[in-house]
This record gives sequence, C-alpha cells and structure tokens, in this order.
Amino acid sequence: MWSLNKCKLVFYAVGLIGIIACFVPSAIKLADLPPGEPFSELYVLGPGHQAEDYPFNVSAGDSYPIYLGVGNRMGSSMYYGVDVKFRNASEPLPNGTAPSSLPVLYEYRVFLGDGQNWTGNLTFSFSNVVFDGNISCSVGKLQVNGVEFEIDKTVAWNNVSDGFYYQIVVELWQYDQASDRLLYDGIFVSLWLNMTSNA
Amino acid sequence: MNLRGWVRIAVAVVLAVCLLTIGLPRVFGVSSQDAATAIGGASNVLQAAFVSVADTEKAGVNVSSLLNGLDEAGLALTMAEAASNNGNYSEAVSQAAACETLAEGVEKEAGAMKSGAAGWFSGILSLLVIGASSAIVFIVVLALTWLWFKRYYGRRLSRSRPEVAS
Repeated sequence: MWSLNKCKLVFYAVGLIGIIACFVPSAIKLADLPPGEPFSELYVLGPGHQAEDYPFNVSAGDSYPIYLGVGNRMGSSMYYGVDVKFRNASEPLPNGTAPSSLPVLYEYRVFLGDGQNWTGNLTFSFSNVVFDGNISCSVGKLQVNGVEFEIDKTVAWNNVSDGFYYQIVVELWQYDQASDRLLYDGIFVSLWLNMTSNA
Repeated sequence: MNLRGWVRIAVAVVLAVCLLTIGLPRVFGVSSQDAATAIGGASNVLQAAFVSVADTEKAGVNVSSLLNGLDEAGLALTMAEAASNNGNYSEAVSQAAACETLAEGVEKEAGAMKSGAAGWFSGILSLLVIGASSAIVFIVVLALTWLWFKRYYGRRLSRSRPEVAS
C-alpha cells in the first residue's frame, strides 16, 4: 500500500494537469497557431458521383452529365470561379501557371467556408456535328447546362489513338483581394472526348 | 415639289432612321451593351460583398449563412451570363439586377454582424473566464476527493493488523 505522502503527490499531479487543461483553449487562441499548408481542390466525377464511368465516346444529340467539385482547405472562406472551356487537340491547354487562352464558355461562382466542399452539375451535349469520312470532324455547337455556344471546332483523325479527340477543360480561379479580381489558381482538370457518329 | 417639301421629307427620313437605330431598341428591348454593363456591375458588387464577408469572418463571426447568400447571388450572375450568351439581354439584365440585390443584402448583413461581433480581446477574455471557472470547480472537486480519500486511508490503516516479516 502506498504511503499517504505518495498519494498526496498523485493528487497534486492530477490537479496540475487539470488546471493546465482548463487553460489550453485560451492558450491556443492567444498563440494563434497557423493552419496547415493551405490548398484548394478541383475534381471531376462521373454521372454516379463517383470517379468512374466518365463519358468518352460521345455523339451529337445525347446529353452527358458529369459533376465538378471544389474543396476549400485555405484556412478561411474563399470565392472561386470554375471556368469551363472546350478545345480540340491543337488548341492551348492550361498549365500550372497560366490558364488556357480559350474563351470561357460557362462559369460557376462558388463561395466556400474553410473545410467545405462544393459539387456542381455539368451537363453537356453537341449538335451540328459533321464528319468528313475518316479525315476530319467538325463540331458546330456545344450546349452546357442548357446554354448553347457556337464553337465551330474541327479536328483531324488521330491515327495513334483512332478517333476524333476533343477535350473539356475546367480551370479553378480564386478571388485575389489585392488585385480585386479572380486569378488563375494553377489547377485544372480535363476530360478527353472521342466524337463518334451516331448513325 | 418645292424645296420646302423636300426638306420636310428629308427631316422625316432622318427622324425615322434615328428612331429605328436608337429609340426602338431602348423601347422594345435591351442591347448587348446594356447586358454587358449590368453583368460587369453585378460582378463588382459580388466581389465587394465577398470582401465584406471575409472581413466579418476575420472578426471571429460564423459567416456560413452569408456564404449561402453569396452562392445565390453568384448563381444569378451565372444565369445572367448564360442569358446574355443566348441573346436574351433583358433576362440578362434582370438576373444581373437580382445578383446585385442579393449581394448588397449580404454586404449589409455582413456589416451588421461584424459590428455586433465580440472582438478578439473579448473572445480571449471569455475563454479565460471559462477556463478559470472550470479550474476552480476542478480544484474544489479534487480537494473534496482528497479529504474523503484521507479519511478512507486512515480508516483502512487503523483496521489493518501489523504483520511481522519473516
């Protein structure tokens, strides 16, 4: 059996730990600990809200729903612009520092608190698609969420991958308070589409 | 026809041309320029509202309801751009106006929430008060436990029989 003095020491230790624990929240606030490495997320999901079953072989007249997602891990609320663009294989892609110079077809504006995620529907379809045998394919119009855009993009047959390839490109922009405008975040996702004849 | 007659006809033609090129679109529709101006204005108001919300958040206020309001305003602006792209300029102006109204409402609410918010110092103070109260309650409970334990220990010690180690 422990002596009374030993038990007293245990009580003192428990008391000290308890008192320190009571002041931990205010100490954290006082220290104003920085958040972890801030970052933003941009992702694309298939029709079932999963990272699978992405549309690939597409044709005129059919609708293709996919979902775009944005995650805010920046440590504070953010204002994001999610820009949808459409390119053929020869047109410029964005990279880690510069956005694609192609025009924005559709822009989502997303306001997210720290730690929050947003998912938005992107349904697209094509019309006025003309094939010149196995030589070239021309897409006249693209509909994004019911809004029609004249695009008139022609692509030649790809001998390596056997198809007429186009790409939907989605760029993430975020509001910069210093310049008072949305700036490209260096993040983009894309989806390759093979235009096929529905005949 | 004399000269006066020709002048009258010329004036009438000029007036008709002016009416067709300037007046009619203003009376019966909205130009693409009007839509672009409205969309640009709404975009600026939306950005200003976000700045206001960000400032309110820095003051320690939960701004999730304000962010929902900004989302609605942002959606209206996207609809305005879509309508403008489809050539429906009056709808574009209407959606841009809706965006502005929503964003201005959010900005006003953010300002009110910020002015009513407890500052950083009062936040620290309230945490310290809560911490001190919890510590006092803990010490009292621990002291009572110690008193009970001391009595229990004494009772147990007096009941035990001395043994001689062999």
